[in-house]
Amino acid sequence: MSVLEVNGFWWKYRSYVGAENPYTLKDLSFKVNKGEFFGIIGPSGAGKTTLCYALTGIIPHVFNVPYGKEREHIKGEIKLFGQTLTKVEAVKDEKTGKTTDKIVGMKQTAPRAGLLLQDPENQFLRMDLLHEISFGMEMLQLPESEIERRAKDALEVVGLGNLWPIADLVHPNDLSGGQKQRAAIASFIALRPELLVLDEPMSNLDPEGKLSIIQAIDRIRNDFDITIIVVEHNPEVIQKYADKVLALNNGQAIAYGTAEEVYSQQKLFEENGLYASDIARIGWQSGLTCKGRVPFTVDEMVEACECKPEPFLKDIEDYKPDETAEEIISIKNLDFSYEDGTQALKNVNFTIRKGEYLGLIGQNGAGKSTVSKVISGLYKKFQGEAKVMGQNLRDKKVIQKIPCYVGYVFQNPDSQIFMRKVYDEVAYGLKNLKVPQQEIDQRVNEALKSVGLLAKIEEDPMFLGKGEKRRLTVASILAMNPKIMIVDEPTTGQDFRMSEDIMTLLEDLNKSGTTILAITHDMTLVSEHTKRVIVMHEGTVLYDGSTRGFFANEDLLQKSGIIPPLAVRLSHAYMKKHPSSPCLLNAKEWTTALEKMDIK
Amino acid sequence: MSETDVKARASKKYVRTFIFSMRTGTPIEKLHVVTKVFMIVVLSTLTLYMFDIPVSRGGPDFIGLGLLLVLVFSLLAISRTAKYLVNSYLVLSIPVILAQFFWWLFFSESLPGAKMTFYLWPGFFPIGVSTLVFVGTFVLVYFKTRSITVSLAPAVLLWWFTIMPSVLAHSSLATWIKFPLGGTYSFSLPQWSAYIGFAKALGYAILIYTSFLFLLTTRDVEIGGALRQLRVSFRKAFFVMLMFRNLNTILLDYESIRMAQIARASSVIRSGILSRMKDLAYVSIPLVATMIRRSTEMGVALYARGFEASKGMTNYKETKRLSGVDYSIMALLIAFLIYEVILGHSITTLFGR
Repeated sequence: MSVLEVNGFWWKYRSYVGAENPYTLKDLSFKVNKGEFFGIIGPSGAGKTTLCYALTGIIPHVFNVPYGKEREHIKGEIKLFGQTLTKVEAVKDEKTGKTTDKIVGMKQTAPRAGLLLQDPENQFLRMDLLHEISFGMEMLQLPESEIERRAKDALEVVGLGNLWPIADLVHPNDLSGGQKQRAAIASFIALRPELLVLDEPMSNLDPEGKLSIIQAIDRIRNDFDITIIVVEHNPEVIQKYADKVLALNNGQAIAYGTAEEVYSQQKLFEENGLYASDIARIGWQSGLTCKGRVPFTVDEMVEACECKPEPFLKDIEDYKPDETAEEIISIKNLDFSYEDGTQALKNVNFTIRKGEYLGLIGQNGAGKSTVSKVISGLYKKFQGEAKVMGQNLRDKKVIQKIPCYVGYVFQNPDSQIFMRKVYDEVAYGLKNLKVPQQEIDQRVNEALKSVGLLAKIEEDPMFLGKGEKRRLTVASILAMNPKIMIVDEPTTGQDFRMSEDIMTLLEDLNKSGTTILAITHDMTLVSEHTKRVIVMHEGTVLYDGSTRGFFANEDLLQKSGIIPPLAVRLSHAYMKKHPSSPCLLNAKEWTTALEKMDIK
Repeated sequence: MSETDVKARASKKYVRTFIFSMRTGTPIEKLHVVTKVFMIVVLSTLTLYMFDIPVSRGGPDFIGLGLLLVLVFSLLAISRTAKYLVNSYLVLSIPVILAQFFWWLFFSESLPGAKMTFYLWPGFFPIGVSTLVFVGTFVLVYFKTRSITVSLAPAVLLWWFTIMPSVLAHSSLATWIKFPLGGTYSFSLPQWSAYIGFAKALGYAILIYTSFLFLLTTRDVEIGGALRQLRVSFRKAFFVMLMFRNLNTILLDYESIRMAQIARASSVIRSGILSRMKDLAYVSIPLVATMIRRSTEMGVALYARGFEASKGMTNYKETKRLSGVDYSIMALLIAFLIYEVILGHSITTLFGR
């Protein structure tokens, strides 16, 4: 039985200024059956979030259309639970006898259908977890005892049962990233929905957090027989769990079928800039197949590799830091506690030298952001020693000058763009430093050129695309010529092409001499770009050394709670059969290795 | 409640309020919001009355005001919120309170026993050579230094010396037009002025810190619950609640935006007031952008949880009953109000001043 039917659906948002908007969704048709796990994939701006809104009635009830223009904005029909959800029909007014176009269908989809947004913080409505979970049930006017029972159950189901005794005291925003997302899921589970739509529920989470969310979603699907629709970039998740996949680009369906059917189309992924798994990329590059198609899983790939003769690629040199290079950051016995008494850093030690490109990784709450805020002079009440360019961060004068040495690119571009013109935005920091006007012009031009935004110098940053805003924030730090650039989650919320774009940019900057510290949860990115990693765990440094050394050590990986990327897991599986082979880190290394094997 | 539950509750020491957070388990946390609002209203009425008692009736109730201020600070201390006030708003509120004090110190000619000590103002704003001197000096120094404070000082000094000698002030050469400023002002220091000034400063401090006490110790559920008890519709109650709740979110957003600004060297070179104000204005661009995004998504979240179609709302741990403590506090406040306002007593006179 189909829960959802979309037939030739078109939608465009109303325009409040100037020209009409183009259609965001174009002629979409598909079905979702009861109990299915339905995946939606596509690059940024493909219309994925808009589709989620349309599937839950938010379009056209929250984002409405101008009166009398219904047919221009909506075409086709969406049916939910066998009833019309959205459709434009000519309706005859009984009083006047006139026929007018009206949107017909269900006015409210809650509680039968729920929608979970990408950023759980934005959909929290209350100041305590207990009422956050119970809010929907209160709206349904369920009895108090039933609300209490369901709220408790919901927290248990998502693995937050330990918070029940203090649920009325905890502010949802104070939970960790993964907990926030689980709390948001719990608030819908408690409503006992038949359909749950989740819009990128796992971005912003560490690999283990991602895994726990997806497992929780899969568990509730089975336990409560809920139909799940998930928008997700991560190919591993979709390939493993989704029964059906819809790929979107520019509002149109570019592929629709089972995960196997969609994920074996190499051309589709390359042309549309979609995330393909490491395994698929290795398969496509090397031409290896399994069961007549590109391998999907580690096991399938190991099996496919067996057709290749040994020996394997052996001439990989491990990374050794240049001990003679200038010390940029030096941290000794660093401790840091927050005002409420939480100790965030315990005896942290490391040195960063000029020209390095390193990753700072660890689970949510491991202390990554705290340590980087200490070295950028934003957190001042620390114990121990922290030096930047040999100058002690305890000195107030040094702290004031930190922005000249340490550039911090924050995670959310929207909260760090202060000006209404791209030029002014990049010049902002330089003006604060009282750089002469002629030099400002020159530095702004250079910075914008290196991020490819020179053509947009006169534009308003508000109207730049997501990826462009990200690059602008890099440019505005770059213009200040810092000795080290700290980039917080450079690829979060970005599609495959944008991520590649920003990573290539950082690599180019590194080659031209900028030291780069990337704080990230994206292990594929770490394995492809950084040579050294500092792994944080519960406020301490668990590992500091070569990226390969870390990913090769399964004990360390387990202890840190970090799930390595597929290419590394493939190496581990391969090494079990062929102990002499090295730990290859990414698709590129694997492809090279497989090519070399052919020569042998 | 099991033993582990009790332990878990005990380990959660602070709970978020509209601004910052307060300690759990304190008597303030247990107060009903109606009592808190009642307290603000009564304390404000009392304060406004106490610092305005005419000199003929013994003057402001100085000791009474002092007691009220001690009361407010004790409540802040009990709820462990005083530290947030000290870290953030105290600095902002002190100039306001001091301004009150000095205003009353100098501009209180109507008080009995006013004694002229020195002469400041000729009673008009002169437009003429003196004004040109003021504007000219300011502009010249500003172009050199780009600092308002630095250029204001020599401008005021020069202007002062060109208009103050009475000959120049009254000569048509120095002053072409006399722009009246409401009669002759005089700087006088009657015996009451410092006393009244101090009482006024105390009074405003009470008004400011009582409002902060409310924001620092109240949560959304309290406001929503109280409005429901007052028979306000659940939709209206919810929006009032959401508005207060968002204060907390805005504060968090502001902190992260300000950090991004510091990272862009906004505090590297000590700059004038104007550039600091500009920096504050720049924060509004990302802050408003963030707020717009949040409010759109909140609308979506409300719809997704069935708020739009709902006809009512279950009262699940939303309301709180007024306790004996609440009634006692209200009774005490009323008694104090009757003592001061209706019976016209003053604690200061009680101590025999």
